[in-house]
Amino acid sequence: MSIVLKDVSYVYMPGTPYERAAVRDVSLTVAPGEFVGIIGHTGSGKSTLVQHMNGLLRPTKGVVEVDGVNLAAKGEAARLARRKVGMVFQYPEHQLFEETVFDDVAFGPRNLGLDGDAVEERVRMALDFVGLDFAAFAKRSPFRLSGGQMRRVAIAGVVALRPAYLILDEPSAGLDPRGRDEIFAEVSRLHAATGTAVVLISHNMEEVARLVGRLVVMHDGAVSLDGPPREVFRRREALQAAGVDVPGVTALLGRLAARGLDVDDTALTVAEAATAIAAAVRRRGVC
Amino acid sequence: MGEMIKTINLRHSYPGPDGTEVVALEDISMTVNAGEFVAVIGANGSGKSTLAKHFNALLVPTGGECLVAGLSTTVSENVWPIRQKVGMVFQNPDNQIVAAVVEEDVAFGPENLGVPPAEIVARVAAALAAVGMEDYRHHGPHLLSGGQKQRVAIAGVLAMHPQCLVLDEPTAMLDPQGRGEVLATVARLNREEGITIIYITHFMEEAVTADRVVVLDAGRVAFSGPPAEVFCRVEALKALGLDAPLAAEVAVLLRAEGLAVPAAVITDAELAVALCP
Amino acid sequence: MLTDITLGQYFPGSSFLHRLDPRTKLLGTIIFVAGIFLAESPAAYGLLAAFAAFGIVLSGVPVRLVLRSLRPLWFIILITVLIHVFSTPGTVIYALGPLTATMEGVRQGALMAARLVFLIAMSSLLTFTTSPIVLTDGIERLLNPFRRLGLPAHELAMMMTIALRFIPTLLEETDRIMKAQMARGADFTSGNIVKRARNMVPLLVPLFISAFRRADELAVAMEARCYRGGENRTRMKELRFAVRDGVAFAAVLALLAILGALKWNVPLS
Repeated sequence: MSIVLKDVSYVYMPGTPYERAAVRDVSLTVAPGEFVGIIGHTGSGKSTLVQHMNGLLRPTKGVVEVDGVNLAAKGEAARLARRKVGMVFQYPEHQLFEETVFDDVAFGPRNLGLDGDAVEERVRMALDFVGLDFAAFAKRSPFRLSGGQMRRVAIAGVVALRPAYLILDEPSAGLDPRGRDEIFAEVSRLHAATGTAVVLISHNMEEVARLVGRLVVMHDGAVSLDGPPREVFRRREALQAAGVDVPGVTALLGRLAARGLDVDDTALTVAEAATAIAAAVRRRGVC
Repeated sequence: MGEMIKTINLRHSYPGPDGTEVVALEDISMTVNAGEFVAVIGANGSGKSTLAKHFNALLVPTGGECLVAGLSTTVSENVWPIRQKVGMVFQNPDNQIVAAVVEEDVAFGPENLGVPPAEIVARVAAALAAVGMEDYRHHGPHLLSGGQKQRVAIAGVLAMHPQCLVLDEPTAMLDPQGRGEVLATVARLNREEGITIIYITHFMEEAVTADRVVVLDAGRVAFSGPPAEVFCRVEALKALGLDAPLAAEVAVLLRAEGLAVPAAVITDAELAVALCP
Repeated sequence: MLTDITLGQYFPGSSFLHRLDPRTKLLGTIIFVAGIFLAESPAAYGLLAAFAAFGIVLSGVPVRLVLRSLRPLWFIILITVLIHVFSTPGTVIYALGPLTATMEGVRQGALMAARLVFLIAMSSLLTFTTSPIVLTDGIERLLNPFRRLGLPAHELAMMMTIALRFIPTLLEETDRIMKAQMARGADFTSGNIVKRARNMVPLLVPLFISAFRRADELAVAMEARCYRGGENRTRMKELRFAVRDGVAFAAVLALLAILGALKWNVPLS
């Protein structure tokens, strides 16, 4: 029971002058209930990779299995397996199309063949998870909401499918700090409350460091690092080679260490960093 | 130094969907001097984009006044001279590039100004060089990265020989690499060419190097001043839904721990100097 | 994937035809087409074929590509031939119920097919050797004199320029929205026509909204860059006729003259 990618490669426009390998021989497993972050600079293949996880892209080479079912297979089993994986694209608010928030969030559940009451229950649950009050928002037009609210309606539209695995591609792109904090809080609440496995692509190292249990670094179409964030962020050379920034906290601690402060550099949050710095300064006895 | 932009009790309102008046900006009085780099920060809906559009006469005040190089934006003859003097770069890199070839797009502004062809060629070359995109002049914009597209957009404005550049969240849709490219380009134009910069952002790291920071909230100026003064007000920024720079935030916590950290610490480098003299 | 579609059929190169002024190529193509309709005798057709072949060789575009451009239109060519074969009066060579194929019909049909092939081949050659942007520019300059008659030449050209600029962007967007809706269980491929059309709503609505938003933002960005229509506008690239344009005009006009002479039996010496 997992998403399993075996030696997956993907080539864009094969046989043309524009041919480009976006993913090369990636093997990766996402277990149920896991919270995995994927980082890597633009063009490293991370978006292409995750689109294989629910069969939107077929690997040029290799196999993708969800809970033991090969997604490339024909028939009902593969279709059901694909449905277990929800996908939130970048700027998901651009996919809204219905007249009301309710209908838009209900689009997925209705496609699953659910009927009236079951659909409404899904919509209530999904809106609740993204922090939108059902009574206040269900009948409103999604196009008259603020940018942050539209994004949450779109995410609710995927959450309403009740996926066992939820993939989010840059869910905070373009939001202001408050909107960003809200989205990440909702995602981690969903993960904690329902045990949904989450795969999060983000450029926001602070959030990734704080939220995920496991971090995968993509570089040039391949996985270059894979492990707990504290360990991954210590591998500065490998990260630099992959063109990935370390979190601000890690960079700050590194800078202090470089100036001779004997500080523990594994902190990932601001509070942890302050504690570590204070401890180091006291040990040194100056200041 | 002369005043590039001056607003006097600027107010902007428009009729809302239910007929009531929506006030987007209220009582904004600020001055940007020629050659300055001013960052404007604020949460979504604080009115920063509305304010930016006043600097280029895309919007005009419904109360008070907005002067660009001494010209009032409400006088219709002033509109085109103002738009030549103040160039704008917008958030979405895709939706401001007009032509299907980079150099044609950079030429668009000068062509509109009626610049002679030979000079347009020279201006396009110089503008692309100024943003480091000279190798891409024959490329299609859809093949460029976000950061590259924004640099093309900046070049398109530079070719009009403006005195001031207003950038409305130019990095909001970019990855960290693109953000770095754009910020470095803008900082260099300010430093080397003396172009006045008004830089709207919600990435605080991008605002710490500005000469001055203006914080907007709900259509008003909440507070403003040099970055060192603005960014050490960690609690006030958070209350407005904004971030504080990491070093400033750590400094607050260290002070709470009883360490003597100077008030003006807002960058990693300053914190490092303060802690490890 | 939708973005796999290559746009237009421009074949980059630097041949004699590539370097011609777009106006020369546009007018030249028009003159050639006029020539096609003057041709009647086998000699005239031979001349047209020779001229077209020479053009293709000169362009450096693979013959295979030019022939491929005929493919989408083979059905129209076939229908044209059949109509002529069965509707021209003359010596009956085959009868199918009330329909009779005639000798004259076969000849007429063959000539019509040849005309269509020449027409398509030469206009393809124009688009193979001229990038869409340059072509737009050429059309604008050619239409410019008609501005006084109220023809919005500049506006038409600006519309084409913007369309060319945004086609790749919108294709990419279509691809993304399609995938996003498919991930929510949308089905764009099965069902009858009515059902399929209805299933397109989740794709088309977001696409239209996005296109309008882009149009809105682009208009503001253009205004901010002092765009105010075609008045007093200059262009970076001036189109200039060169000696080779003169040569090309001479060649195509000579062709027209010879075809005219063949048609009206004017002695050619």
